Amino acid sequence: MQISEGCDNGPRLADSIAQWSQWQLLDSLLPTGGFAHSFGLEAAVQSNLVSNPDELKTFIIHVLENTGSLLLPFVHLASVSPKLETWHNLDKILDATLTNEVSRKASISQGSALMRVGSAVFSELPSLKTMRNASLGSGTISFHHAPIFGLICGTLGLDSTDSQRAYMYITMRDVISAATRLNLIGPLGAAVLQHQLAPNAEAILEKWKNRDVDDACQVAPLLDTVQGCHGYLFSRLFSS
Amino acid sequence: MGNEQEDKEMEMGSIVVEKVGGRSSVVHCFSRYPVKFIIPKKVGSSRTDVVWVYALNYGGGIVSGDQILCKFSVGDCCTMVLTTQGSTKVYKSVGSKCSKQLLEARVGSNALLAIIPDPVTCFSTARYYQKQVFNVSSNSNLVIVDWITSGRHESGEKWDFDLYRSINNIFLEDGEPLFLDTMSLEKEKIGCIHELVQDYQVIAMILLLGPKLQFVQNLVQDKVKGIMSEQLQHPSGALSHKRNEAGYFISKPSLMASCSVFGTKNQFGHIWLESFYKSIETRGRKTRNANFMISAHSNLYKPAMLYGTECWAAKGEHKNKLSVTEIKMLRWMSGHMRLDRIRNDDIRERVGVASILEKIVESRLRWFGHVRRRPTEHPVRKVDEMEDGQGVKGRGRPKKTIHEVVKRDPHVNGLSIDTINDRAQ
Repeated sequence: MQISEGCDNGPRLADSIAQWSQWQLLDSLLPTGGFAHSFGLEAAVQSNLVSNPDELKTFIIHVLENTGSLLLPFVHLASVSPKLETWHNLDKILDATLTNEVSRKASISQGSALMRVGSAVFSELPSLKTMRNASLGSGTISFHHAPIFGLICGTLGLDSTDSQRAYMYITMRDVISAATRLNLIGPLGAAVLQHQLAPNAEAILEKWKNRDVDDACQVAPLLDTVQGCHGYLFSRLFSS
Repeated sequence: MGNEQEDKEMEMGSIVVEKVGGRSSVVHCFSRYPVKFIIPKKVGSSRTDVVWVYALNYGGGIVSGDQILCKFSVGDCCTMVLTTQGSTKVYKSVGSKCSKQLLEARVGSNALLAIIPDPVTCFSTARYYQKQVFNVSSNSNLVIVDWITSGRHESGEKWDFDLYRSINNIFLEDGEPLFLDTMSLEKEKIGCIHELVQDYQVIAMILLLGPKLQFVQNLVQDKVKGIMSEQLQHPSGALSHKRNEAGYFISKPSLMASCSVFGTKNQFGHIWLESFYKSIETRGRKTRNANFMISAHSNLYKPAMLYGTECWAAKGEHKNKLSVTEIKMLRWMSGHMRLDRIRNDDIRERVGVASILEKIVESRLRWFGHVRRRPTEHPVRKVDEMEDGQGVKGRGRPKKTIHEVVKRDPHVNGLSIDTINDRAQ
């Protein structure tokens, strides 16, 4: 995000204010309930797919790849055209695409929370609130996370690449946070790992950005299966 | 339109099934090289109304650059099965050409289409793209099995292909998407596919849709839950190298499966199977895997699905059904297995079988104790005594009496007959 160097204070101020909003959107403090989900990490640990720091790193990279290949198209298209019809269409397609029940429910709960928070927090953008109210009544909209995230980013003025990067960022943030709470890695180690993985995440972004929903695919089917096993865990910390 | 022209060129086969005289019948069948359909009349019971179609590829597989489109239509209340004679081999790619196989199917109201082929096996450097599109009514029934093996592992090819992309899309009558699934394994984009799939050798997706499959859906869901719950029972905190002193790995599950509901009342399951070829410390899991596949899909799969399984595992799986006769138990007990040997056993496959035998012995011991504790006048004890009086037994009777067998059991387990009376033990 470049701070414009125009002489006119108006756009510069608007840009700066916009940055505050954008940073708040990515802040883990935002009450979207993202921390109830481990992206299959808990199931992976209990099935011994992840049992040492190297495997954790590989796991996170695979989660990012799968996010990129499957969900970035939805973020991209929603951010490019943050309108009601686009959002509804993407929501419907994503509901059929998220065949894994665990990840589908996680997406719905995170998306609904994000929409509720977004429409309340960013009150200067009434479109969010109106879209939300229109969709709540219909009963056919599932409120999936990725399209709503793209929608809010687009409404806040983030361009498409930044929106997709932001989505990758919050995914990585949430998995690493889950790893910390599962006691797989300490808080400092988590921060170090997050920084180390930034170039990987950027490379993944470059590979999978700006695609159409027809191209959305799973590239890590083992991850998908492991995440689906979350429901079979006897004792669990996370809801997905 | 360009697309229609392409379609016509690619269309290698089509079949239409409708009710004729109250029975599902093929009313239209077309195929041209390299596709061939075989429609045998006598598969299964004649009381079942179903059309079986075997799809074959001349040359035994899919050659680089092949573009194949097949269309199927299953009329209302009809049943059709589409399967193969052997695994679909995708040969190596020549000049980076991608082979494509497309399937379009329309399933009528209250009809059932079951697509249960053998798995796809991609050779080294193969490039394969598969798309299956289904148009269904609200009460149509669908069984789809879509699976792939790691390759020709005897030749050392494990996940060595360049591209495998499989798409399964289901649309309702109004064009609404019900299920959109694309799996893409691409060496160029992902790097080492082996890392993504780890040590698993088969990836399978099984999809069950429709009211007629309610029973199977529930069965599969319960089975998967049962198997996976057992495998996920060791929650662990800190990361550590999980190896105990004996040098055993606490290994990954040999079968990783999850079952999800999609749509409103339908189901599909993602099932991962670890190879039957790999020698693994699964402690009887191999047996259970075989059991799961067979019992859940006994009406759908040929047992040949277990191709390559060591005969040993197959036997273990049969015996697991516990319709074992006492003669067989005796033969095993006296001939092959002495339990104390099994504990030190280094032939790991046998552990699966031995644990079953242990269970059998256990239950027999329990009964023995129960009988012995009865007073001597009780008819059960009288029968006990009577058996000793028998001299020459007729053909088919076990040579050993139950007494002799059971006498051995306590010895083997370090007990004696007297301890039976001590229930506290």
